Amino acid sequence: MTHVLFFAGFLLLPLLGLWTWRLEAVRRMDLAGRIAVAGAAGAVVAGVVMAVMSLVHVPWSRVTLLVILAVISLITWLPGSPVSRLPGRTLNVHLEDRATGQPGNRVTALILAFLALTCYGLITARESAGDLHFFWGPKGIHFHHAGGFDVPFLANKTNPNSDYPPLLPILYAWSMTVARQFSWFAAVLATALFLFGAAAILRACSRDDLGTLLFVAAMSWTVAIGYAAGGADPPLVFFEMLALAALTFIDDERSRDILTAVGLAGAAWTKIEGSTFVIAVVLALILMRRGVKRTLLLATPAFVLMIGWVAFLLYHRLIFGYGGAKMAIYPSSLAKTIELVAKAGLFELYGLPWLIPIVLLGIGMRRGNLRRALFPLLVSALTLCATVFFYIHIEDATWWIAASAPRVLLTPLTALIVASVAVLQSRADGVVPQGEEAEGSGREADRDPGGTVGQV
Amino acid sequence: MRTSSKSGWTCSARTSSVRFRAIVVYAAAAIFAAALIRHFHRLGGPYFAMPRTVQDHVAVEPYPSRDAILATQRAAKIIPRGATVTVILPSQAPNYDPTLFYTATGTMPRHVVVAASAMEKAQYVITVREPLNDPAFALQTEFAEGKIYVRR
Repeated sequence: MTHVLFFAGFLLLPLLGLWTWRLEAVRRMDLAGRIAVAGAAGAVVAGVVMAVMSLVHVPWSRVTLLVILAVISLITWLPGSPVSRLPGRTLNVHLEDRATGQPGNRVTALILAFLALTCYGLITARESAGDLHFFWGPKGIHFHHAGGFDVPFLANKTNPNSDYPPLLPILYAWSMTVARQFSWFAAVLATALFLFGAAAILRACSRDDLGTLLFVAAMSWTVAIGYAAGGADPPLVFFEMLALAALTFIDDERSRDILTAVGLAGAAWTKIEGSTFVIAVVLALILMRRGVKRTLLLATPAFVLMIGWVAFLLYHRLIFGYGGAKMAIYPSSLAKTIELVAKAGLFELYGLPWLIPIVLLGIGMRRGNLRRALFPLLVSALTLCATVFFYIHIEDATWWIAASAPRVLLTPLTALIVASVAVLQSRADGVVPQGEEAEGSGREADRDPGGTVGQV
Repeated sequence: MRTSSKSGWTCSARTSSVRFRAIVVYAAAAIFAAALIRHFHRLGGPYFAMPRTVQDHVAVEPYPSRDAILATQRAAKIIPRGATVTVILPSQAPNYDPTLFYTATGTMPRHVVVAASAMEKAQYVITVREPLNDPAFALQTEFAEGKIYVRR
């Protein structure tokens, strides 16, 4: 029963993010996409609310959390709320098949097959991250017992990486509040929600079944051999996908900006690498001549959350990992580091997870659609460079790279796959209203072929 | 299949690139699926039984931290709450694997877990797999995954 209730805690998160269903682009998504987007927003809302409660010394309990979070979710269901006037599905499978030539049902079956394979690996304990038992889980447990951030526990040197961003431990504490006990198996199984939530977002935004199948297949493999389940990398990919998909595929300005801000905030509060991702997105947008002020506005929630967390750490003298910013750089180790990262990046399958999107990019370039893919490509390149930059802070990072690179490389890989999907999109907007043709209908004549980023 | 008209050529080229893309993605998916099944098989059986910990099959030979999970979960019910505890694999001395006591911070949240390097502060030492030859500690309880020692 503990396992079921703990897992149910994650399933409740979309209720806290239903406000996203007011956004035009989200209202046009299929149900899976809408739930996934609401889940991402709900996770960020839960994280922020629980953090604020802790800071103002309101202890987390079933009563306080359920009352506060229920009020937040109910507000979106008030009479007259746009949520209650949702349109139906916007694009059925047959319409999509006719428009894109993609056999939707077959691909959906294959995606479900990968979901089954991944769930098998998770339930039989073949994909679990050691870090779940070493610090992500213990932090969640201690936060739950303390009814908030457990400063004495974080200050204890037996707890590694105590200054890592708090979102995942908060979510574990939330699920533990629902279940009253911690379930290690449900924590591992939540990885399936994050991965397939990311896939649902990609599919809902791009309307590309084959691209989604590629993402699911590649991530199922890389997460399995990276032993990432239960750690922070799957939720990081989930939030990163929301930001990338919003910026690459969504045409509606307001929807795009809000979803990007949610994705960036979630990523920054999930892992330190999430902050790197935020910086990469900001740089990529600026390089693509998006206005600096507007770009910084998108990243403001992420910056506020990160600054807030760092201020909390400084106040309690809890800076450990972030202190690495002062570490020396070893340029002499660059060649070896690149070699080791490249070796880890082969993902024990001759680099296939990278090769396939690169081949698809090649096909897309022949069709002259590279411009749309430039943004995720830039993010992929920047996060790849940042990964190497992190590693050259240690003279011999062999062990560190072997232990972490297969997980850290999930971010540039995700961005590359999004680019490979974007490059084959002749539509400017992947989200098509019900009853309208997805491709060849003439709608795209009014849209910017450079994609959503290029419009600003 | 190219046609002489420009629009026909474009349509044909698009169709062929869509087909080629589909072939590439399906082939890749088949390879990933086969690799996953092979990977899961390589990690060993039993294949259809509920594991005891989430670390049971992440390696062909279970890591000591897997046994630490089971040992500390048992010890949490035996050792009084609030007692200072550490977890070690004795043969690793003096460079003990920190992941063993990291694990205990989650499985024994009502106890005070100390690092193996601070063993002199521990009232209880949980050893994984091996016995502890330290005259300062006496064996209290023994189970399949490890032993509990209490300071004399």
